[in-house]
Amino acid sequence: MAIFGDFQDHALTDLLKVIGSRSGALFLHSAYHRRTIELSVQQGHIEAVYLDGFPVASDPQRHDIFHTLVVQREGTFEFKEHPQPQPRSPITTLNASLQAVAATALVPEEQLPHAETVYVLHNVQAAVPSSLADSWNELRPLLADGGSARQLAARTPHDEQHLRWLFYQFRASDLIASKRTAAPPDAAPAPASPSPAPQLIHRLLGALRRFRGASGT
Amino acid sequence: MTASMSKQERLTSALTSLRSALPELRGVLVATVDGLPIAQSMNDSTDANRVAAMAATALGLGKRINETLSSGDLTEFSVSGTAGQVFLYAAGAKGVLAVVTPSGMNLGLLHMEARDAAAQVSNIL
Amino acid sequence: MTVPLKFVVAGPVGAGKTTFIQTVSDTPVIATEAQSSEDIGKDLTTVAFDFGTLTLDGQLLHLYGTPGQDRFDFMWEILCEGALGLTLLVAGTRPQDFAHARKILEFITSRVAVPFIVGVTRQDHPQVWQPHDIAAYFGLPPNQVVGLNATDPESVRTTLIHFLEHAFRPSAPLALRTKE
Repeated sequence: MAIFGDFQDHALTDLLKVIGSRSGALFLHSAYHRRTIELSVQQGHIEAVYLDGFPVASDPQRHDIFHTLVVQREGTFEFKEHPQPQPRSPITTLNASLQAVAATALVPEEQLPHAETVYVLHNVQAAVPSSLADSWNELRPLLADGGSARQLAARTPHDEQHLRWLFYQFRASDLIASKRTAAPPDAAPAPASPSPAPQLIHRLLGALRRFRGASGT
Repeated sequence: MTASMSKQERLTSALTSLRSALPELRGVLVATVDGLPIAQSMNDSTDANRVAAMAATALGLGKRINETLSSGDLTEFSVSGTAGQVFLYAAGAKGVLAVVTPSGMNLGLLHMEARDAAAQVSNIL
Repeated sequence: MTVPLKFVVAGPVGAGKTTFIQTVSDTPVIATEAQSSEDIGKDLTTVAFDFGTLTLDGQLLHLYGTPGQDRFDFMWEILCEGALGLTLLVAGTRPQDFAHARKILEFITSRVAVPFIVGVTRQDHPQVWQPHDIAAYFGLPPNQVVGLNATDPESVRTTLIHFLEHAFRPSAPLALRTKE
């Protein structure tokens, strides 16, 4: 399993989403003044920060590290999973403070959502980073029926670019998602266009499987 | 036009000449064949990036249709609406010239001037 | 004479869309390409679409590969309207393209009701992202993201099988999205 890449192409919050509830070490090589940061992750929670192998205990220094990671996005990352997670220290989680820093960061244009992608409310119980609270209170009602940055730019004093950035941040906090993912899980799937007849799907599957049978593998 | 002018200046000059020759044009744009805008002069706030990409798509399709139907080299590709038209010309192998017109233009004159401009653009690119 | 069905392959430049269609098409693929003015690692880039066909048990499928760059987003929408399904391809060796792939997927699926899966190519490479990690990145259930080798006909057919098996089961997580 390989989770790797250049740090400039990914948000740290996205990497944590990929790590999910796994445990291991997220290495950020040459990411902090050319030095390596290691984030020790237990079941998805950042429990400790190491700089060139030495633990970073002070809050201000950790904040500075998070800030640099989020803003500079230099270097490369890789995640090394621990096969056996150690017991978790329930009070130590740095995820919220990372999230708070990330919520203020600029994002490269090419990583912003498309201006016409429609977003809907997703997990409204999720924590709202304090720096986004005012914007969230303002825009949340407008997203009740779904909206894109372009649509909301026509209805609010904000410009499209700023809205795209806000949507990026709201999405990173799990508050919104693009329209497909917001369908209630228990709703019966209701096709917009007539669903292909089951017999048709059967025939297509049959034909594809016969190819496989015929190729003898 | 002298050799000391930059490509950009020469392109702008070619487009300006075209617009003077045909004052009723709504806009002109030069794009790469893969859809990036290089030079433009459009009347309204049309998104040049969008027009450039669509011009490249349409020209690409037009060339392909012509080949399939054995109609020879593409001369132009046009799209007509109730309020105006757009004509696309190949500008050499690497460029597309898009000319946006109102309805009812004298097409003979348009094609003559536009193809001239396309040839100039082709030389510049 | 049956009405042809449409299947679309979208994704960032370099994901393997054209290869995917070439691998499985019954007919020579018609590509509408142009000289690339940018450095994308190859000379030609799709400006309209790639077109191939696949006939399964008498049912004709039209296969369309979309352009990858954002400026051709109008083509993504045009091609996906009324499509049987969509495969969003992303190269597992190119994490730098994941954000763009997500942008494309969210744009298309939030605007057009089309069932889809995500295909992760280059699975034969030694260092490559796995489908379940990419599922986490996209916020998708794991069975909606599959690994494949776009040059292998067996692998591409398996991807189509996976799509058909999962997209149209009544209680599938891949429920068709309503376009309200």
